[in-house]
Parts: sequence; structure tokens; C-alpha cells
Amino acid sequence: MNMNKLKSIALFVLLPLAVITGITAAALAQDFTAPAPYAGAKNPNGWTDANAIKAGKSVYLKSCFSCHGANGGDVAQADFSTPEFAAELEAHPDFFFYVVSEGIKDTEMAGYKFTVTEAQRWQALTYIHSLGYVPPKPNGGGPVVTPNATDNATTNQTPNNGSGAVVPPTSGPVEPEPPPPPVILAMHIPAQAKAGEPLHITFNLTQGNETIADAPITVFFKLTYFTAAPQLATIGQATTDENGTAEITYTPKTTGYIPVIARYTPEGEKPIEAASTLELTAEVPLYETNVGLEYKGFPPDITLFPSTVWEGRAPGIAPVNVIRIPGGLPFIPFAAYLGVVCLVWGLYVFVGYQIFRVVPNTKVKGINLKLFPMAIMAVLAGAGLTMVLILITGPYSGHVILP
Amino acid sequence: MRVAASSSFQQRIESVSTAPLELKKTSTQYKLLIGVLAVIIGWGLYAYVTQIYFGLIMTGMRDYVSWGFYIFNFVFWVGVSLCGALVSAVLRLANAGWRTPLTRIAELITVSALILAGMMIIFDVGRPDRALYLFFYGRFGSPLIWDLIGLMTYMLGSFVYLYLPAIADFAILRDRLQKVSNSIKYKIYSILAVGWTGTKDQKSRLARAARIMTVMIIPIGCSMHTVTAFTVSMTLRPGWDTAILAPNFVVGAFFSGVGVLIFVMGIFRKFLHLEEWITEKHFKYLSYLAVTMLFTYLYFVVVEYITVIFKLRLEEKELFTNLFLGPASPWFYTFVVTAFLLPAILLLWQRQPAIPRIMAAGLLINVGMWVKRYVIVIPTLEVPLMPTGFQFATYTPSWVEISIAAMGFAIFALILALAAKALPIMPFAEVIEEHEHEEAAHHGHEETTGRA
Repeated sequence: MNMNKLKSIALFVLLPLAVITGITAAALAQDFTAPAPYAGAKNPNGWTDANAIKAGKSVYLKSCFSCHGANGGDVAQADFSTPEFAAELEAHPDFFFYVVSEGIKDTEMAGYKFTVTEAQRWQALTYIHSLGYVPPKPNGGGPVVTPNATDNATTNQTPNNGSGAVVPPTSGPVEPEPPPPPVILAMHIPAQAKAGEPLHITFNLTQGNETIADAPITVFFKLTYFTAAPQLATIGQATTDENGTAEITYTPKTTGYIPVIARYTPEGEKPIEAASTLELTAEVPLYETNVGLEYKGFPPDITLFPSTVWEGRAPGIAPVNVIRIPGGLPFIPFAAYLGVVCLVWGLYVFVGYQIFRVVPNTKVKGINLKLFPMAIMAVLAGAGLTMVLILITGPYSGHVILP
Repeated sequence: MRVAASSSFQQRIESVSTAPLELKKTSTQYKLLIGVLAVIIGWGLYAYVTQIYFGLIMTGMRDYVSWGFYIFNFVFWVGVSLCGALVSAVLRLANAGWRTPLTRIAELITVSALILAGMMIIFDVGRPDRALYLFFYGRFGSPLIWDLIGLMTYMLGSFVYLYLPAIADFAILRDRLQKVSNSIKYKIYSILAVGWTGTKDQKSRLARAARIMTVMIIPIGCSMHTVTAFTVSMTLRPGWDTAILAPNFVVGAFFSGVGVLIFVMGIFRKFLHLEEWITEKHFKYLSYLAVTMLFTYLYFVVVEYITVIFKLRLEEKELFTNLFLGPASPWFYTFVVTAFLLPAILLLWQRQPAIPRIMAAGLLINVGMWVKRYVIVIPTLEVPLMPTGFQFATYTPSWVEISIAAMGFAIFALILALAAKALPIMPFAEVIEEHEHEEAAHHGHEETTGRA
């Protein structure tokens, strides 16, 4: 290999590597410098521009919500719900505009420069800013909610003033009347629970000092199936009583860190949500599906099993083997196959017997010549029996171990 | 060990048939061959230990392409194994007298190829210690269980079928060793010969057993290939989801079986000096069989592709774009050239010398059929399951897979090389009997003409 080749390899391998490493490092080290086309870009809207926030929310719900969540706190690396994030965004708008446009390499964060217009990206950033922004003079904007430390309660609020945005009217005498206090949905849920055991979740729905009764609350698990975007699976519904509290009981059948979302949708209003993360663990497998299909019809399925099948078993132990013969239509190919296997192996053993009968009765120099043909017959008979047993037996796991 | 042509038939067959008794007279060539094979196998074992230690991550197989080098080598070895059923059984049933000297070689190829096929399955699973679960927890509904039962049935049947006609040959070796009747060799051959002395009762019993096996081994061999095809064609994957795949596998297996027999037979003929018994006639007859199988297989392949390409469902389109124009196209065109084009030229253009020409065709057929197994297994798995937004998966075999596949070929050669030393490589008893028949018929003919 000559020097030119080495040089070009270095150029083609090291240069992109350096660029990628640089970008990743920049993103990870929170070095807020935006590269060329984005450097020095400014938010065309004011950070508290109510119209921009409103427009930005719809962009956010379309493009950002599925990962970052309702309050922007679902991605730990970019938690929009903190005042610190809002401050960083205000200080380095060009960098965050660059991230939204180009994405972050090797992470889930995608670039949106082709799918979302430049104006909409700025609107979304304005809305994101509003999620964590704490106005300098909090006079009736929204109460700072302190989560219940022991219960891991998390709340989220949306002002009930029709604009659908968290806009504290701080600057200027634009709105002389203070808006009604926001509706607050508080969810009390343990941080950890056991799968397979009942889980109690309680809710408080308040507006200012008043409680809201007869309000329907729907609770979801945010589940990720394979590569699809997370899906909301309803785990329960409850209606608040006169104290504004509601409770659901649900027995989770999954494990892992599951985001839980509670949602209350007032008439003609934007939904109000509370979110938390629940760690679900399990010591035994929760349930197993039965292996194979059951066939209806004549003749019926035949399953003969020992009573130990019902005693359950320790995790990691394979299901019990039982005699299983399919019924219905599959019985015909099964019977044909079993018949052929029996015939073939029966004939094999018969051939082995012919070899056995070749041996004369005289002994030759102390060697028992009958042993070898007998071994052949034993191997053939044993293998044939194994084949038949493979066909007529199968694992039975159709019992549920759930407590 | 060459014997002068002037010596009698008895002397010549004696010198060849008792070759296994002269293990001490091992040539340097043979030792070199065993050494090279041992090195390849040792390297393959090292690769396998690596795979066991680090897991299947050492292979090129991933979530999309989960069947790689091992499985298409398995299919290849299964294909090679049909050679025995074809030559020994079909030709025996057809009463083709010329096949007698080839039967032992064909059965040996079958048995060794089936051992290799079983090994490839073991190599393919990440936890070989759980292989027995297949016996314990297999269910009737799974095509893999049919494959297991088919493989077991065909393998044990082939062992019996290899052993049955060899009993009389073991007896020849045993009788040759009468003078040193205390040696281990004498004891081994005595046990294998099961007291055979060639009495009428013994002959009728063995003939009955051979008849049963001859008739059975053909459907069993075909069913083995059918269920191997079923393991893929019972799915809805593009390229596999076709009814013709099973017969296609059977015909392809016959095709590669003839090819490998021609090649191995030529090697044995040269190094064991069987020129008198395996003659140009055998190569020519087998080459006619190979041409027939070539065009039958070509017909099946064209039918398989044309019925799919005409309708061209979305995923089939992706498969055939990959196969004809995409990254898999080098494999596809190599298959076309080495399995069809070159062998057809070599087999039909009857130039002398015939034997090297036909042997080259036999080797090319097997290279082509090996490539064809890749074309069957891998590109289908590379087609994405979702039609949009997903990229083609790619598969590149890792050094571990290539080493283990090479070890497979080395083990195959090693089994044949060791068998050439320890077993009577031709059914000598049968050859002698047929020779005596011929002589008798010849004399009878002379007598009748003389009387006239």
C-alpha cells in the first residue's frame, strides 16, 4: 500500500469520524455552538408571544409529543419542563434551532428541516420554552406545584382560560382581569410495583381551592411495541367523587419502566394530563400461551398429562411433556404420518432381524457374533420408538401461573 | 499397487479388494492429504470454539438474516446425499448391471453427506447443549420436526443400506486374515461379517433385506428433500412461498448427487487403481444421467421463476430485483453459469478424453448447486418484511462461518479417505459373482455354438 492510498484512507475514514465525534461531543457536552447556517439565528417571535405558543403547541403535538410527552419531561436528556432548560433555550436559540432542524446523530432525535417549516420550528421552540418558563413575577399565573415526595406524584397544568397555553400575563397591561385558576390533575402512584399484583392509583382534580366532581379520568400505560412509536394503552377509567378524588385498581401484566399518563378532558377544552413513570418487576413468568393450536371437530384433541402439570413450576424450567394427538382435520395427516413412520421403522427392525438370522450358531474363536446384529436391531428399534414419541408427545404449557 | 494386466481376474480383484488389510503401506500423498485435512478441521474447530464462547454474534447472522452459511450448507449436503438413493436404489431397481462397482461409493457419499448435514444443524444453533430439546419438546405441527424425523430415518436407513451388501466383502477380508486370527483386525472384520459363509439361507435372507431397503430408500430419500424444502416453503416469504419448491429440491438433489458421484468416483478410480472396474463407460452413462437431470432441473427452475415473476407481488419484485440486478446477482449468475451453462457444454460436446471432461462437469455442477443453495436461502431473508421505509438487510458470512463450512468439506473428504483405507470400496463379492456369471454364460455360449 503506498502513501497516497494511506492518505486517502485517512481522509475518508478519519475526517467523517472526526466530524461525527465532534457533533456528538458537542451535543453531549452541552456545548451550545451551532454550525454554519444556523449560527446566530434568533427566534423571530417573542418568547412569550401567545399566538406563537399556541401555533407551536399544535406543531409540538404533531411532531414532538410522541417522544417528549405532554409536559416535555419524558426524555431525560432534554427535559423541557425545567426552568433551566427554558433559560438555556433563551440563551442559545440558534443551537436548539439547529438541533430541531438537523436532529442529533445516533439518537432518537430526528431532524425536521424537510418536514416542518422554519417558522413552525421556531413556534415549536417558543412553545417548548413556555413549558419550563417561570415568569419573574408569578402573580396569579399558575401555582408552582410541589410533587408529593413519598408518592412520586406528578402534576401538570394547563390554564383553563381558553387560549390553551401556559401564558402568565406578566409583561404589560394586556389583560387587566386575572384568568381563572388552572385545573390541576394530581396523580398519586407508587414509584415501584410488582407485576401480577393489584396496583392502586388515586387522583385529585382541583381548580384553585375548589374540587371538581363527576369528572371522567382515563389512565394509560405508554407501551412500546417493537419499533413502532409508543402507544397509549388504556388501563382504567374512573370518575371523581365530590372531594375531587378518584381511584383505579389495575393488575399490570407487563414489566419494565412504564410511563403512566392520566388524562381529564373538560367539555370543549384541551385535555389536562398528569404523567409519571412506574417500575414494574416480576419474579415469575406471568403467563404462557399454550404451544400450538387446538383443533375443534371430530375426532377431539387427545391430551393425556400427569397431574404435575397443574402444580406450576419454577421459572426457567421447561413445560411438562404430555401425550398430545391433534383432533379435527389435522388428525388425518397426523395419522398418515404416524403410520408411515411406524411402517418404515418396523421394516428397518425387520431388516435388522434378517442380519441377525444370518449369524450361524457356531461360535468363532470366543467372539459372540450375535451381539453386533442385536446392537443394530436395538439402535433401530430405539430410534424408531423415539420418532414415534416425538410425534405423539408435546409440551403442555396451557396453564396460567398468575396469582 | 498396480498389478500387471496379464495377471488373472482372480489375482487382480484379490489385490484391490484386500487393500484395507495393508494399512502399513500408506503413501506419502495420503499422509499429506490427511495432514492438510487435519489442519483445516483443526482451524474449523477453533472457529467453532470461538462461536460457542462468544455466541452467534461471531457469525454474520442477525435478526433479519437468521439463516446463513450453515443452513445453506445443510441444504447442500442434504442434496449431495440423494446420490446414494439414486445410484444404488434406482439403478438397482432398473436392473442396470453396470452400476455394481459404483454402489459402495455412492452409499459412502450418502452417509458422509448426511453426517455433515446433521453437523451443520448443530453448528447453526447458538445453544447446542439444548439440541436434545428438539426430541423432548418437538411437536407434530412444526416442519423442523418433520426434517428431524426425515434426517434420522434417512441416515440410519443409509447406514443399514451401506452395511448390507458389505457383509460379504467383510467376509472376504476376514477369510484373508485366517492365518493371523488373533489380530484385532481379524476380530473386527469377523464381527462385521456376522459369520457370513455364503450359504443359501444366508443369501436369501440378505437378498430379502436388500430388496426391502432398495424399495424403501427411494421414497425416504425423496421425503428427506421434500421436508427440507418444507422448512422454508411452509412460510409466506418471497421466493419460498411456492408449491414447486419441494419437487425442485428433489430434482436438484438428484442433479448434484450425480455430479458429486462422478467426481468422487473419478478420484477413487485414480488413487485406488480401479481402472479395470470403473471404466469410461460408467462416466459416460452417468454423464447421460447428469444431462437429463440438468435439463429437468433447468425446466423446474424456469417454471418456478416464471410463475412468480409473471405475477410479481411487491415483495417478490424486491427479491427478484435483488437477485437479477442487485447485490445478490453475482451469486445468481454464478449459479446459472456453473450449474447449467458450463456443465451443459462439457457434457454435450463429446470431446476426448472423456473422463476429465465429465469429472470437471461433475465438480462444476456441485459448485453451481452450492451457490444455488445460497440463492435459495439468503436473498429471501434479506427482503424486508415491511414494504416501505425499511432497508434491505445484508448478510456477509463471518470468518467463523467460512471456517466451519470449510471444515465441513474437509470432514467429508476425511471420511471418504478413511473409508477408502478401512472399507472394501467396491462390492467385490458382487463383482466376483457377476464375473463368474459372465464367464459361465460365455462358456455356455461357446459350447452351444460348438455343438451346432
